[in-house]
Amino acid sequence: MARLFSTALVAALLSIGCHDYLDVPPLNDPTPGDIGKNPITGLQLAATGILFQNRASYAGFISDVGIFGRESYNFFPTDGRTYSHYVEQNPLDPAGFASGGWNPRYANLRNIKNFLNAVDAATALAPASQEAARGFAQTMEALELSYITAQRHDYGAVVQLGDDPNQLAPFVSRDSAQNYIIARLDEARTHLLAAGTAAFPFTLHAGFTTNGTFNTPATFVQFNRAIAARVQVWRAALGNPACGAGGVTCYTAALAALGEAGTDTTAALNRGVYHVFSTESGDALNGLNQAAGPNLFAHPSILTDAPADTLGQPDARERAKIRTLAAQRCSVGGENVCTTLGFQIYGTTTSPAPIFRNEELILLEAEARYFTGDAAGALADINFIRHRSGGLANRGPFATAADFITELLLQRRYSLLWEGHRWVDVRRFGLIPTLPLDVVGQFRQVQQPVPQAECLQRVGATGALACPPSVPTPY
Amino acid sequence: MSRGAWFAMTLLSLCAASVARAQSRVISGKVVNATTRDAVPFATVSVVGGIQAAQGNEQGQFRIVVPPTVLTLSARAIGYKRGEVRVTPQDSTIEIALEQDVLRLEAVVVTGEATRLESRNAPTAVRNFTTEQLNTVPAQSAEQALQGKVPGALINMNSGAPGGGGQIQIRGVTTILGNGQPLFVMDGVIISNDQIQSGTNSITGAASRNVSTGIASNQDNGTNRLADLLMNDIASVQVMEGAAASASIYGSRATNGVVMFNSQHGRVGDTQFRVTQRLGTYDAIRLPGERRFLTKQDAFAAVRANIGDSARSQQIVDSVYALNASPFYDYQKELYGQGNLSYETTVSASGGSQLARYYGSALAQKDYGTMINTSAQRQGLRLNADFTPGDRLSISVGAILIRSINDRGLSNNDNTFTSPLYAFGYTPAILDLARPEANGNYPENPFPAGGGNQASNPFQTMAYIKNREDIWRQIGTANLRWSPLATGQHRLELSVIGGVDHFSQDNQVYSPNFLQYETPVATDGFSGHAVQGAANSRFMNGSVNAVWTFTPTAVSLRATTSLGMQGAEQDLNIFRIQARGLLPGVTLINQGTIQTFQQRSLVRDQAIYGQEEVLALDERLFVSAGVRADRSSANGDRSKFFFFPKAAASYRFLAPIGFVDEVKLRAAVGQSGNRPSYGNRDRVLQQAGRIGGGNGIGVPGTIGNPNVEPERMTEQEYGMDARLLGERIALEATYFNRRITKLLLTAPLAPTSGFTNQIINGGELQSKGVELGLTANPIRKPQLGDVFRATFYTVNQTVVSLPVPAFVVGSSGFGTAFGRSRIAQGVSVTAIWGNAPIGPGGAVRDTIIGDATPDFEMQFSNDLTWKAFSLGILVDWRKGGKVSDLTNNLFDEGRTSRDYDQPSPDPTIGKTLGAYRYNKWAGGRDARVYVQDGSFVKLREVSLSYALPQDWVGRLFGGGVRSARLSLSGRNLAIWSHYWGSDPEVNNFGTQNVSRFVDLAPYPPNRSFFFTIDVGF
Repeated sequence: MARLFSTALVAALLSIGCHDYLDVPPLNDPTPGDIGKNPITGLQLAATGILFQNRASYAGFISDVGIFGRESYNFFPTDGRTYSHYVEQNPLDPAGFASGGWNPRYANLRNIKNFLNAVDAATALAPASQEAARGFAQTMEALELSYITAQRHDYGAVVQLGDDPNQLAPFVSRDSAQNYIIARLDEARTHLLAAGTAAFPFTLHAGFTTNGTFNTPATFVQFNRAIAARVQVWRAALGNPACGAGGVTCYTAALAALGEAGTDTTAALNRGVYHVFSTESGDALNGLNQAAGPNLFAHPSILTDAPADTLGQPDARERAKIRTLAAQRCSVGGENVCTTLGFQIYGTTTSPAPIFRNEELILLEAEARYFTGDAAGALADINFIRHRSGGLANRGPFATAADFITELLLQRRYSLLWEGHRWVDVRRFGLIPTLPLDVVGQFRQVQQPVPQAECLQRVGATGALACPPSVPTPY
Repeated sequence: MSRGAWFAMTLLSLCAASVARAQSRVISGKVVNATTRDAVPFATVSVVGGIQAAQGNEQGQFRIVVPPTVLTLSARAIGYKRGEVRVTPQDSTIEIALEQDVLRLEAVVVTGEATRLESRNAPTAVRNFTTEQLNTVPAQSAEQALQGKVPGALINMNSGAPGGGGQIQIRGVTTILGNGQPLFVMDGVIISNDQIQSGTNSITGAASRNVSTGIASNQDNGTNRLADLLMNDIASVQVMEGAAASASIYGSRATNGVVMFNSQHGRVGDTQFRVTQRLGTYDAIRLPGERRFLTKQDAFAAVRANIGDSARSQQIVDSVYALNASPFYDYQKELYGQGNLSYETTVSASGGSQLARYYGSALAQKDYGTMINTSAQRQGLRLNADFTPGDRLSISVGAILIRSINDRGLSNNDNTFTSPLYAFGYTPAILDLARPEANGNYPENPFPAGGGNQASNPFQTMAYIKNREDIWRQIGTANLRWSPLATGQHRLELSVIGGVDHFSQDNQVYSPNFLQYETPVATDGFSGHAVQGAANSRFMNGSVNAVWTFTPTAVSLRATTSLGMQGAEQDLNIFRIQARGLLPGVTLINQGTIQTFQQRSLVRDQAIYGQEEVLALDERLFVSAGVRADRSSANGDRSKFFFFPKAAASYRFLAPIGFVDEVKLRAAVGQSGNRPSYGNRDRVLQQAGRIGGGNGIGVPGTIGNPNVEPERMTEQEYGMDARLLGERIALEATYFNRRITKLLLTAPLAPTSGFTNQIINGGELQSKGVELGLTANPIRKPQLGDVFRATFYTVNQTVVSLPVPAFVVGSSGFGTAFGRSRIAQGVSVTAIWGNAPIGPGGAVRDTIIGDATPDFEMQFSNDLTWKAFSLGILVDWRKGGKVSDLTNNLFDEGRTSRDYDQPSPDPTIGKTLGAYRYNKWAGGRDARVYVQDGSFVKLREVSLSYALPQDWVGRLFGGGVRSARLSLSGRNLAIWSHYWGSDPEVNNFGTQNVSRFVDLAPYPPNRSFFFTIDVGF
């Protein structure tokens, strides 16, 4: 017995003596140290992670701005708030359903910041490869920020993340945010061009090659310029002081960017960069497909407002993108709002979804041309889209700027249906009140609130560190 | 310890043993009840101040070998007070009479890993329960058996699903985001109470099911593994409520309280068998009910509200009313009316000699849930063996094998209309959905949204889906005690205590592709869903202890010094595979599109402790002090020891004034910890997911903290226990004040930092509370006895300081519209925050709209015995405590609530009560509407039993049968509450630290009736 107890005691003392026993590694996640052992693989994983994270916000963004822009509904059958929180609240609830599109985007901005630091530290990479990687990351950074400014508009945005996550980063105005995006895109372009003919030190997924080729620094720059043109046009219309009188400076820059982006009326309208999906474990489905997003429906005005084509039937774009439901679907709770229309843009749950398409570039070109004095060029672009995409007859010259804007918005509405544009477009031309209300007493919102989770961290902060409160819309 | 010391000790022990052998004699005797003179079975008889001990048999008889001197023998038995008899060298047969311990003053409480104390000296409140208190009325799980019995603990069942699932919270909230569960210990082995989720989220989509982390969710109504315990094998349960009681035993894991289960052990004598057969049934305590439409117009309005399409709605209503002028189908009564006969059969055998004793038992149990096709089955085997090869050595080993199989159906939140109560909320009860049509198919439910894959028929769903958990569990315990030194004054006991708890859980979820919501595809784009989940858990712990008891002959004093070391390990591995788009009729996960998930955790702990206990002044004064040093692999600094001291004292005033027998004052102060969870210390990246065939990484939502350390609780406990009027009345009063510092917080960061949370230690929480008890024994006659007990418990909890801005607790409710938890400095930690239009001009403010913690809980019990009858009643009264009643909201939104047509308090807001509530809530502008008072009075337990007279037993069962008892018992027989939902106890998110208040389409809680026959032979 004594021997047994002394053995037990010695064993216990030994275990107290050596604490290796207590060294338990993280078993579920990689550590930065694990990743650092092979920087090249690490960059690949991080680049894929950035693209994954960017895609994570895509369907929510389209659905949110679709509801605000009266393109779509989210009629969840047992929770009326998926609709009412967008159209019946004024001001919008910062903790409600319409406060999305924030956390995942900023998480990705952190990913991108880490990625850029890793590129700087990756001395094993050739300088050209480093430049290529920088160009990629900064383009993705600007892309994320462009969505944030599309949703938060006048509330502004945080554009630069600090090193210390505990340090609040300042909000900047909408104009400053958009200026930052342009500056970042231009910087990214410089890096991409500096990469020359070098390849990216990682592989981009098939969404960069399914419709056109954008997977090398030399071709990725077209993607960069497409986003640049989009944001230039936004800030020009919004009267950003950086764009000069009439926004001409920015429109001119947009035209240049569109040239570099490969805007091409002879190319496929769908040429562009896409999100890809699959059923592989860990991957995601296209949430806008009717099977994967069964509660998302189309606004009835899409049919009633659709122009008639040369044969007298609704616009070809309406016919291609809109389906009639077997039974009408309505909101729940409160006043019933119903629709008989759904979308059929994405045929399968794994259909790719565009980040930008050639069709958008042509319409951006029309806009930039018109506002830089090239009304004829604008008309040519508009008529190309009317005919090619909508099956509509050509129209005559624009009588006034208002006439052009009306025509532009109509073509953008149907060409870029449910791609996240209409609300942003009517807003930048000051036409929010033209959006229809389903029921008297609803509201047309101008921007989505900064989430409560953000504001709670900024209680008591002042100046640029303060959280912009949710303000009521006058519409 | 040097070799010399070991040698000396061994030598000493040999000497003492040989002395005893040389001059011993045998005393035989009997232990009897002092009032009735009946035999007291299974008493332990020992020599006072000596080491000799023996066990009595069932007839009360014992034989003990003792020295030839004058000595005192003491006898003790469960339910009796200790009795002593002086024995002269001439005596060879004696009788020891024991007084009944009605007020349970002499129960033994655990004070250390290897030390015990009589409860009359205990310096902290005693919460001990015997098998009779726990097992008289059958319970689905240990939590349920303890409900209504433990002042200082709030015990709730998460739902009424068979197989259990509940939460014990002792003395309020002890942590906000750390582990808030008590530590559960079985015969010295720390056992797992993990809740492994089933994977029904793949059907319900309560949380996103399109990501691998969403195969299962915390809304799956899982079972926590405490449910596996075989309560019939439990001899007693001790609940150690605070740091003051438990710090030196469990240190950094003791903050949430410790619940210790002690199993039955074998008794000396011929093998005795006991067979208990229970038969009974479960039904719902109450159901939310459905609306009976007063007019066809009302029915149309409700149908249209859920379908939207006027023409289709009119057609449905017309076709129904053409056949039936007053259509109504009580869906809930049918779906939750399974009512099959449940049974529990236990057989136990016990016997042995002084040298070796054994206890073995077997159990087979099947409880049918109230919902069709749900049940819980359990089979268990236990063997406990105790060996006493000499006076100095005892060895106890135990082995338990348990199998649990639970079919729990679907319940709780969903986003696919498949959770039955959720679906019923939106289904006007005018269609006969319960019966299959002539072709064998169930009718399609057109509600809501016109039917198709947007809706389900719960009768079809529950007829065909599978949600089964299948658990194999093994627990092994070992306890070795050796006394190398035992003299009149000194006794040294060395012990090794430890064991293993292992379980493997298999979860199978299957939803065939012909179900309504799977056709043609479910709302995630796939038809046919299956989840195969597995979990392997292994807990091990062990300790080496030395206890030196010094009893000087000159003064009345006993000093006990203990030292020891402990080690523990918890290893859990969970993995799941979800398959979607299955081939028809196939449940195999390789025949669909799969998502996989795996998560591991591994924590190792070490501790050293020392404790000194002194019992002095004729056992009137007790003083103890101890300290424990802990370190853990879960802490940031793994090699650093964290110290948790405690000190306690009690003093008994004997007969201080006329009618008072005894007053004990007690005070205890102690510190305990709550160690970080696995992974809190790690700074990691995480898999973002896969895109385009590639794997991606990104930043995690939560930043780990390499400096994380245990939360620290400092508890002061003061109390008074008194016995009055010749032990007719016992009073207990306890006040506690706990301050928890270095709170483990998953503190939010501004999302613009790129992160959502970070782990920090900081802030302070305070809980103060009072526990009162009154026990009265007004009638104490040989044929008639009555014991009444009332307890009171209240707790007040405040966030004293918070180093970060107020934040919302994740998974704590459904947003501002329904109320959720926010942690803010200076207010209650369990406050419910939500929208209320209280700002200027009716502007909405996010404010405190209630508190989940009850104002107080009172429990009343009465046990009456008359001849062979006994009647026990237990009533539980909880006052206050708000519940976020989303179930009510579902039914109001679907215009199907049972009281929808009641008069409206304000017709300008809504014409009827249901419309009023819904409109006042206004899409969440006024969350107060559905945050409702959860006060209740419950008739927790009623039991009536009758012990058959001995001559009947012989006639009925033959001579071999010793005893037979018949009982009728019921649990949760009645609830009195204004709460709208079924039961304010439920929680959609299962176990929660601060936010246990969400009622969302739960599996309705049940009541049970059982008939029991219990035969001993």
